This record gives sequence, structure tokens and C-alpha cells, in this order.
Amino acid sequence: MERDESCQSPGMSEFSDEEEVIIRCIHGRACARRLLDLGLVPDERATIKRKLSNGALVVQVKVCDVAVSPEITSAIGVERSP
Amino acid sequence: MKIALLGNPGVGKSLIFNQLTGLGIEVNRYPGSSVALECGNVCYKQEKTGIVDLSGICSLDGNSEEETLVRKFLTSGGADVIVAILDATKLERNLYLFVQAAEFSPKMIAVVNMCDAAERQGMHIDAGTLSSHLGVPVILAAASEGRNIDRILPVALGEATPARVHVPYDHHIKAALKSLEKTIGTPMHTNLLALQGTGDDTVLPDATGAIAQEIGMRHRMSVGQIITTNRHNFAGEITASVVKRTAQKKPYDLDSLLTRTFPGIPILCTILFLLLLSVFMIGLWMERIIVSAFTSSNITPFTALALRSLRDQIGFFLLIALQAGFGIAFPFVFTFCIGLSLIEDTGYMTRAAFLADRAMHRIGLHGEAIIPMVIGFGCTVPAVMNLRLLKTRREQTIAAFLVTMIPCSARTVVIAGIVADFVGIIRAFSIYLIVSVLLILTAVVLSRITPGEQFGMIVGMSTLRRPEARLVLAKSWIRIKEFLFIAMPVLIVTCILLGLCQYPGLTELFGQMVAPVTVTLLGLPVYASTALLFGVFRKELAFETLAVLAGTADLGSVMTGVELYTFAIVSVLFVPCVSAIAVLYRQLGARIAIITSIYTVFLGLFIGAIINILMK
Repeated sequence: MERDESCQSPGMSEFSDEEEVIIRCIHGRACARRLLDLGLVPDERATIKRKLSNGALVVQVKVCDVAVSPEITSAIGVERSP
Repeated sequence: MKIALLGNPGVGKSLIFNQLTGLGIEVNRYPGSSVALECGNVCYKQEKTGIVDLSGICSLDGNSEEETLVRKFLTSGGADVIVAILDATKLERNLYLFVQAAEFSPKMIAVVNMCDAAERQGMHIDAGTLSSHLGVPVILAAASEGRNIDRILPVALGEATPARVHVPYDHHIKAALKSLEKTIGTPMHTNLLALQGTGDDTVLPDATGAIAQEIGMRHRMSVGQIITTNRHNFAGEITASVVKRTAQKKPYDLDSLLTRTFPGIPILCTILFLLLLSVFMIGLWMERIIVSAFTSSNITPFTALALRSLRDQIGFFLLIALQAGFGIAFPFVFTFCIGLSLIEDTGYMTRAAFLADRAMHRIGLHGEAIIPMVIGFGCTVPAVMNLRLLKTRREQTIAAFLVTMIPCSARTVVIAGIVADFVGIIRAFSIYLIVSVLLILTAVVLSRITPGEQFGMIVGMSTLRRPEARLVLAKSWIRIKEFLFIAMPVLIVTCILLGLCQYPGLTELFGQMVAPVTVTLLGLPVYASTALLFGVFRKELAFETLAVLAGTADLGSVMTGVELYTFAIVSVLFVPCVSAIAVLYRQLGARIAIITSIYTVFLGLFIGAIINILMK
């Protein structure tokens, strides 16, 4: 996955169930378009609703749930929401 | 006059479409696309109005087949009025698509559906304020209750107007749009697409590339991200100003069960098992009733006529074809279509995709691959078409092999009609077990040898809902219609052809030629080879031809249990039907279509030979 070196935030896959995060950046052009359309845009708050043991997540963003594979979640740079 | 329904997936577009048009749906394919468009007509004030149900999409900026199709539809003025269906419970994300569509300047109205669900969640939408923000008439509706659906046509035909939506884009984007409009003269929506490196204009991307790069460098963010964020923020502001929330007791979240490994995975396995079991049980029950009624009312009186040889042969084969089609294939296809539509309409399929992600990764795929696979239990053709859900060639190639091996409803007819009926239900399930093991082995090998990258799953979870009987029936009817009007004529013509071939002894000659394979290798009767060959046209034909050639639908009286079991498993694994091969060729090219066909032929013969040796 192509990474944006200017973004040092950890990947979303490093967070657990029920944690609230703020999206900071999205690496990789191919998956970015779809994530952006589903509302995973920079500075957006997201809640991790479910995490499977392989790192796949159900993320709630803009009152909608989005299921993402582990390789995609690691491409979403996030920070823990204060 | 033509109206098109536009909206995100799962907003209730199809239910509204059905309520507006009734069940008289035509499924058309847009030129150059494999995406199906449902079309219907309605008579309003003595004038015919066409209604098109566009594919459910989240955005108009992507390059998926559905997004490209809807974009082309909008740019070519495919409809006089666009009816944007919005989900009241997810208004913000739905307005994002509305805002994009509005930039194409069609006449529009907005229908805010699922207001009943929103009210239960304590959400109240101010239609007047929303209408003043969007500049188009707004109808608050609840399709599941039929609330305000009758207002859609009069408002769409009488009050639709181009939306007045002005997204406050970043000033660099605004400047770029102004400059492009002035120098090249292209409309704003085309320029916005070109700046993001998408769209159908071939010249613009060259002109916009440098501008987009410069804006991207200034913002440390791609132009696509800036435009999308601006639109989402705009949609968010409108939503905040029109939605009032009152505190409500939070309902029990079923996803706390459905998306956990436990009990989620056992629930998934149970649902798939119950689907197959109901196909077997209900299908067999219907089959017995129809076959016995058909035999006593048609076949027995016809044979009693004792007509001259060729006429008798053709007439008899025609009756057997009708009996096999309506009496044997139809009950299983009908039950499966209802079951699949029921599961799809609950919104459960996306939960299945999430749960399956881990297992699918082990075979080089991701969770979304389960969707074409489950569809493959119905029919291989739409399953192959749905391979486009997978983004890379590697994923599509692996999944193509797997969906062609999955027992479709036609193959279920073979398994249920031959094995479940004459050998036993447990043995019938054992065929699914054998196929599952072969699927896993094939996938593991392919995931190691297929070159390319893995993309991963990004799927918007559908809202869980109670399926509407009317919509389930409408959806099932589209699938059943395909069987009745495409497969049935093929069955009838093929059976008559078979009668003509059998009369001068051609089928017997073919049987003798391939006897070393059918008789020696597989331990089957000579005539089984013709049945296997006809199965390539339609899988049900393998069973029906066997019944015709055996001269009775009671196959247990002319073949042993081992012969029936071997025939069923060879027929299930043996090369996919011609329609599936044709779609594979169109979607993935000749190479994959040929390799898949050869592989399945060898696999079918190999497993058939092993079973013959072990069970004899």
C-alpha cells in the first residue's frame, strides 16, 4: 500500500472495539476514493464498533457502518479522539 | 416522460419502484454495460410515464461499473426528472450523493424515505427547511407503510426543478473551476471529475493534471480528498439544520450478535444450511405433487393413445420436458430464489461478508467475495457478473474458479432430484461437503500461484430490516422469470432435439463412442454420456435428459445408488453451463474461460472415477 510519509498517525487497525478516533489521513490512491465516498474523510470522527481477530473492522462514521479489511484499516491514519 | 430513481444502496429505491410500477418490471442492460436497470411504466393522467430504477451507488465520482453507468445516464439526459431517494436515518451520507447529482443540473425532487424508522430513533426532519436548502420539492415518505408514495408522481411530473445547491468548495478549487470553465468551456461537473482524475472526458485530465498537483501540494491532500471533504461538510451542515433529535431508548443492536465471531459464524453457517435444507425439503414436496399430477393427467393418457413411432417419440419427449421443467426444476429454483431474496432483503449479506473476511483472506480473497459465492448458489451467471465487486484481476481470477464450482440452483436440482430423492438427504449434503473441500483446495493452490495484488474489502453495511413480502416476491419473480422464459424454452427445444436424435439411433452411437469414459471409468450406463453432454447447455438438462433416456422419472428403478451418486457429482463438478462460460469469457477473457472449463471437466471425471472405484 502506497503511504503518505507526511502522515505519521497510527493505522486504525491498532485501535480496539468501542474506541473513538479522528481520521487524519488515508494512504493509497486505490482504496482512498471508496473510503472518502463513504465518509471516511480527514478530521472526521469515527467509532470502532467491532474488531475481528484478523484486524477487520466495522467502523461507524456519519451514523453509517462500514466494514473494512485489515490491509485497508492499516492505511487509515487516525488519532484517539480526546 | 421518463423518471429515474437515484439513491444509495438500501434506501428503499426498489420498494418505491415496485409501489409505483407494480410487478410489471423489465430488466434492461445499459448499452456497453453488464449492469441491469429495472424499467417499468405507469399511467398518470392518461399519459405513459417510464420509470427507471438506477443502480444503488454511494457516489458519482468513482469508476465502478454502476457509478460510470449512472454518471453516463445523467450526462446523456437519460431521464426528464431525477427522483433522489434519501434515507432519513442516514441523511448526511445520502445528501452527499444528492449534492453530486445536483451538479449535473437535472430537474429533481427529493424523497426522504424511511421516516418511520427515523421517528422511532427520535429523529424529526423539517421538510420545508430541507427544501429551501436544496431548492427542490421534498416529500417525507415511508415506503414500508406506503406513506406519501402517491405524492411522488404528481410532484415529480409537476414541480421538479434543477436543484439550487452550491457547495462552498475550497478557494483553490473554485479558482481552478472558474479558470477551466473560462478557457475550455466545459461544465462544472466535468471539471470537478477531471480535477479528481476520473470522468469520461479524455482531453481534460491533461489540462487539469498540473492544476490538481499544485493544489494537492499546497494542501498536503489530494484534490479528491478536498472536494469530497467539502461536499461531506456541506451535507453535514444541511443535515444539522434540518434534523431535530429527541432522546429515545436505544433499541437492541442485533449486530452485537451478528458481527461477532461467536455467535456470528455459527449463525452464518446455520442460515446457509437452512437455505439448502429448505430447498431440498420444500422442493421435494412440491416436486412429488407436481410430477404425480402431471403423470396422471398428461403422460399416462398420452401413452395410452399409442401413436405412431416418431410422433409418439417427439410427443413423449415434449411431455417429459414439460414435466421435468415444471415438476422437477421449477420447485427447487422457485424455493431457492425466494430464500436468497429473503436473505438479501434483510440486509444480512454485508454481515456475512464481514464475518467471512478472515477465511477469505486465507484463500487470497476478502469478505466481499462471499456475495458472488452465495449468489452462485442461485446461478453462476449473475455470480460471475458480480465478480466486479472484487477490485483486482488476481481476486477476480481466484473467485471465477470458485463460483463456477459452486453448486448453482440448476445443480441443486440434480443433487436434490437425483441424490436426495433416490439415495438420501445425508448423501445429498455429502456432495456439498465434497465440493466444499475441492473449493478450499482449489482456492489455496490458486492463491499461491496467481500473480497480482489483493485489494481488501470496503463495504457499507446495509441496515437490518424486516423483508417486505411484496419486494421479496418481485425480486424472486425476476429470477424465476429468467428460468421460465429462457431456460424452459431451451429445455423443450433440447428435449425435442433429443427425441429426433434418438429416433435414428444417434444418441446410442454417441454413447458407444464415449463408453470407455462413462462405462469403464465412471461405471455409468451408456446413455448417461448423452445426459452429461446435454448438461453443458443447462445443468438441469443433465437430470432431465437422464430421465428421458431412462424412459422414467423414477430413476431409482433403473440405476443403482452408486450410479446415481456418481452421475450427480460428475454433473455438478463437470464444466459450467454454456451461459456461464460465455459470461466468464466476457468478464475475464478467453484464457480464464477455457482454463476454468478444462479444469472442471478433469475435476469432475477424476472425482467421479474415484467415487466409482471406492463405492462400487
